[in-house]
Amino acid sequence: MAKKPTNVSKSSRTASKLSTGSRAKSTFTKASAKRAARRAKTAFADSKLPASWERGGREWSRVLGHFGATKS
Amino acid sequence: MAAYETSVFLNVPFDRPYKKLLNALVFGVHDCGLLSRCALEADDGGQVRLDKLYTIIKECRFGIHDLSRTTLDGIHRLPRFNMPLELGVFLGAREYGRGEQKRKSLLILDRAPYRYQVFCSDIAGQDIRAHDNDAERALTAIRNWLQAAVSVEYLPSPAKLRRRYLEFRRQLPFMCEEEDLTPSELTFLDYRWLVDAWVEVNPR
Repeated sequence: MAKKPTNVSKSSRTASKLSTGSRAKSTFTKASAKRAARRAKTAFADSKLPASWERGGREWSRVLGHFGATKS
Repeated sequence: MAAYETSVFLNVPFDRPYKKLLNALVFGVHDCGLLSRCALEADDGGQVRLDKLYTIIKECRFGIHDLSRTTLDGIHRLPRFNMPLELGVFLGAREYGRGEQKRKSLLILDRAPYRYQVFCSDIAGQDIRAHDNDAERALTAIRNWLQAAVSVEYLPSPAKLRRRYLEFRRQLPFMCEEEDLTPSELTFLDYRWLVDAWVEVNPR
């Protein structure tokens, strides 16, 4: 069953890692990037873009809007 | 295709405000099926910076050159000229290089149309587009340029490219957390790996 990212807080996930004794990853590789992408795909499979990410929304502007270059 | 045919040299500023656009450009390049390259990938302090750039430029058929930061420095009243210099190297490689170097293709970005005529009028006639300091416009500009420059079977529409980028950005913090990475501390290579992996796992 897909994980629901919105229901999993960062602290609880960190606590879960600590309790199971999983150690911090020391290296980040192309393979681990792909693994993370697969997990993200599963986790977000059932969730649609929230309104704030839709065109004109707050996140939409943050990601795709003006990037604040200096004028001169 | 050989690596040369799919590599895009990003000649862009690396300052903090511009990172928003750099991130969008990297995603746009990879979602169009190509590979982004830039000076940030070569972190070898022993190599002269210009030598690194010569190597990367030689290995890239495509180049995106953003001249929007060619502005007067507030303290010294002098412009930053790294981007025009690297654009010159790219144009020189195309002009004087042999074989595949002759097939180089480039896009020049600036923040306003015709602004380049004030400080670099000799580049008139190249493919120059204005992004108005807006990440969405820049993303659309590179997609439309690649459509004309690259012979690939399918490119995402500008709307689809934007939507996929938003979805990637939404998932990026989750991916970072999975790998004990901090989004704000991602290196260029970290970010490129994540983009590449996401595009592969989420085909268009």
